[in-house]
Amino acid sequence: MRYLTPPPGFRDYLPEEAERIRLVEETIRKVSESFGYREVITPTLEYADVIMLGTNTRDDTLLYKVIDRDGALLSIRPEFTTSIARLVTTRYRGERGPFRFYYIGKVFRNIPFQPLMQKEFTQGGAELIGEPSLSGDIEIISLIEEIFERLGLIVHIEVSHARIIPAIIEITDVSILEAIKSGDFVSIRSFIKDKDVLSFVETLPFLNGGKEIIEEAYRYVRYIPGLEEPLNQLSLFISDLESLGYKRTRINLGVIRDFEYYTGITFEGYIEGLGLPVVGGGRYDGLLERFGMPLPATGFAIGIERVASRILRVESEPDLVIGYTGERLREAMKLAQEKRKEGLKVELIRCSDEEEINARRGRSKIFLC
Amino acid sequence: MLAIALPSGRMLEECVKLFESSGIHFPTEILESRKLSGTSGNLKFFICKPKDVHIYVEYGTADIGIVGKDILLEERPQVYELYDLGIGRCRIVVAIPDTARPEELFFKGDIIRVATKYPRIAREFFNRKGISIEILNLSGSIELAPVTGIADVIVDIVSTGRTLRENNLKVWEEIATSSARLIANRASLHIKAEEIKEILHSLKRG
Repeated sequence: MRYLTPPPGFRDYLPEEAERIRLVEETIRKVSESFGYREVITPTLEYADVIMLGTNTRDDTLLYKVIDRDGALLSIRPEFTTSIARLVTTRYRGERGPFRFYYIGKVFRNIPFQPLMQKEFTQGGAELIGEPSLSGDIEIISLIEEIFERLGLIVHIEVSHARIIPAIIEITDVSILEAIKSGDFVSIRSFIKDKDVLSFVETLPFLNGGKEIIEEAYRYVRYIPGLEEPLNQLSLFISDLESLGYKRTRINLGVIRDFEYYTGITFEGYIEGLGLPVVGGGRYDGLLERFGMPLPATGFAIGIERVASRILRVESEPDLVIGYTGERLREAMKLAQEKRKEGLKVELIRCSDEEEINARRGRSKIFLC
Repeated sequence: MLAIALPSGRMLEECVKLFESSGIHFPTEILESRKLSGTSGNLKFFICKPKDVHIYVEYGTADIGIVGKDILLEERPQVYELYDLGIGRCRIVVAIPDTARPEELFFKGDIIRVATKYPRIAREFFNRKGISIEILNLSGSIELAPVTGIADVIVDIVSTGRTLRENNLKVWEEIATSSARLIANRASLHIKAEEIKEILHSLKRG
């Protein structure tokens, strides 16, 4: 059997779609650079060990794997953060930073079919490495808000803290982790005996809003002592953001990020009409240490195709369409050459009558016959 | 506006009762006609196959939905599971012919053919037990399979157990219990939290 379409999870993007995708990329590039970030390019293939060390998972079924000539197991990158951690720890050994890096590129995940999920997609993001304080997290959020502002999209950024779930596990049972991670707030009932703790966990997905949410959550510190420190951080964080005028970000203690490496402020961003997050990230202070260089870090990644799907059409028709009949070829080419030098997008079309030219997309049209 | 996906069939009646006792008005034109969608106040209702509810919710076409835990266990959709509505209770079990002896059936090293609508649940259960199986994926009337000899045992849901008895089957082991769950789309839960919270409270009261 011969297949004529790409395999499931992979797809083509036509010019209109490609243009939107590149617009999102360009915006990420410009805004990141305006914040002092510089681009890094990492390899598409890494040692599978490196990827597994970064994502700290024993489940490697989501990785595309390749065997190298010498028998080494390689993996196509499923994300960039691990590669950038490796890059910093191997190429900037002994330096303390702060490093401000951004990246744009394809990632590959061997996931089973899921709605709205592609196996190959483009991620653009930034990593701030070597900045331990909340100011780093605030910089990352303001960078994201700026990108979406520039794209003319309203993003809802929902912020939580990676140490909230561990604080609950500490006084209950580690088996709630799988349930909470998969969004199952029903089966936790059978694991949590204490009714105050249970009422906190059950309301987690609804603990969202401004500073008042922190006040509400503080009431549970009596039952879950580990909550105090993350709540203090969130409280400072949200006050600072509010006073800086960033208004697309709010607290949502129900946000649970998949990646295991997060240690502090974590977040996800949504756009209305899309069922999945378009941006995610957070603080991952322990990751670089796994590669032998303990440095704090925070960052984000945007799912570029998802964002692009929400952008209105980019206007990209040619500035000038020149139609010509066979004998006027040279003249048409000469004219096109001149106009292109002036910076116009010019499309040449060989045709027999003016009607054909009028049917084409283009800001202005000339017919030589 | 909040869109809610509901399972058609027997479950729909139970859902409508639940809505009524919770003070949520359900558009009766849906019940009286073959329409598959309707609006009531701030709620839009979609009626779909029980196995499709989570798909509408996962895509975000519906913000919330009502679906059996059995289907969530089988399909593992990326949705939030918010509340056990307590309706549509049943058990997911392994059933074997009345006359069969489990120790002979399962532990003599034969490959067992299992008929089921739940291939994932079945495979994981027997994997854990270390029993080699072959899955026969059927779409309904699973109880017929052992009767006709096309399969040795079945993995299916039972509520009263009557269908099992009348087809000369008995429960060997229970894999899980199931009931209807309120699920929510990931983005909707963040963007429309207030509206979802309101519905959840009404349902909890009802």
